[in-house]
Amino acid sequence: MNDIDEKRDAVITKEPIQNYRGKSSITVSINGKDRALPQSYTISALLSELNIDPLKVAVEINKKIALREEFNNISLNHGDRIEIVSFVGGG
Amino acid sequence: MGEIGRHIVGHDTVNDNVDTLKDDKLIISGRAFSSRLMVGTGKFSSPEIMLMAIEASGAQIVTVALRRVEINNPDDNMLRYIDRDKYLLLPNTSGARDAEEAVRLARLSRAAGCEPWVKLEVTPDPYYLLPDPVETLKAARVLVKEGFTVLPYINADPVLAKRLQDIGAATVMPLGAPIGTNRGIKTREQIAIIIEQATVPVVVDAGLGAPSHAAEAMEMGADAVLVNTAIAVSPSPPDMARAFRLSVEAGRTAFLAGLPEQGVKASASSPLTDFLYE
Repeated sequence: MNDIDEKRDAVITKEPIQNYRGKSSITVSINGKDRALPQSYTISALLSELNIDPLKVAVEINKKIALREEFNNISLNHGDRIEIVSFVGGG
Repeated sequence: MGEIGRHIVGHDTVNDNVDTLKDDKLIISGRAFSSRLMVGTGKFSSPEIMLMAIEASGAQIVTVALRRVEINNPDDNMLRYIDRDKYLLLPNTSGARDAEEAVRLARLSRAAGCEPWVKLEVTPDPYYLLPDPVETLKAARVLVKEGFTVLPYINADPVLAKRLQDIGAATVMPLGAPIGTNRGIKTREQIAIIIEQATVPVVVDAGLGAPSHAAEAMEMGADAVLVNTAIAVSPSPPDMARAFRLSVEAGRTAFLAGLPEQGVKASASSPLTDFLYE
């Protein structure tokens, strides 16, 4: 189980950096973890890369809510702190 | 699993000719619900068991919480499981320690696609999870102004309940006992005053550990109850959910029927058998 998780982590956190080598990349924080992204990456592109259904989450950038309708238009900037949240069980 | 795990769900509620509850609706913020039992979705052992329990509870309002998406497991999401045509999803603000955090969570829930309804919880103390009245009132003011239907979780404080009602809270949700303690209605006297004075629905929330506790709240005249832990941690959540449903219906029916006065001295319920003494 741990092996699989680590592998997934590796795919998610390391591969993009290699892919983006040569282009200028930015670093953002996603749910508390740093991550390299290409410049001018949109929220939509990020969610799609993470396999996250945009209709089932809310996204905050630097504590400001990004409206779902704007996911396609909002580009991420170096140093952005991004929170992606969704619903879990609760009372 | 033996007797205790046997599912008896499926049999319907007692089907009497007299159905007091047929037209009895819980109205929150102009919206009518026929069920007076709200259920939480925390602590279930699997989504499948949770769904069976929700179904068996008859609930129409289901609470959820907001958390960071697990980047490695983005599909673990309540929106995948709960049919929103059938249930009103009521996001809570659990985890919020002050008004600002609660407002932030409520806004995020709305942005995630929920209707602007929120169970407002501000619990700075992780040990008893008792709600902070000052921060709760502050957050409620902001959220009401932003158009939210606000259902605040409060200690059983009648003055606070009135203050919240005055600023536009849709309900008040006084606790019976601290969250997850299963101890029943330890705040009975205060809840009775809240019920007497409230012009918005009173939903007894937290601490209800047995169907009898829920029945007690409903007999007292509470408009609804919210149950999570007692159902979720039962060896058979669907059966426990059904038991709560029946107890809420029983308590509500008894309240509507009118409970008798309590007395001190005995009062015979059989006719006196005079001839024995002649």
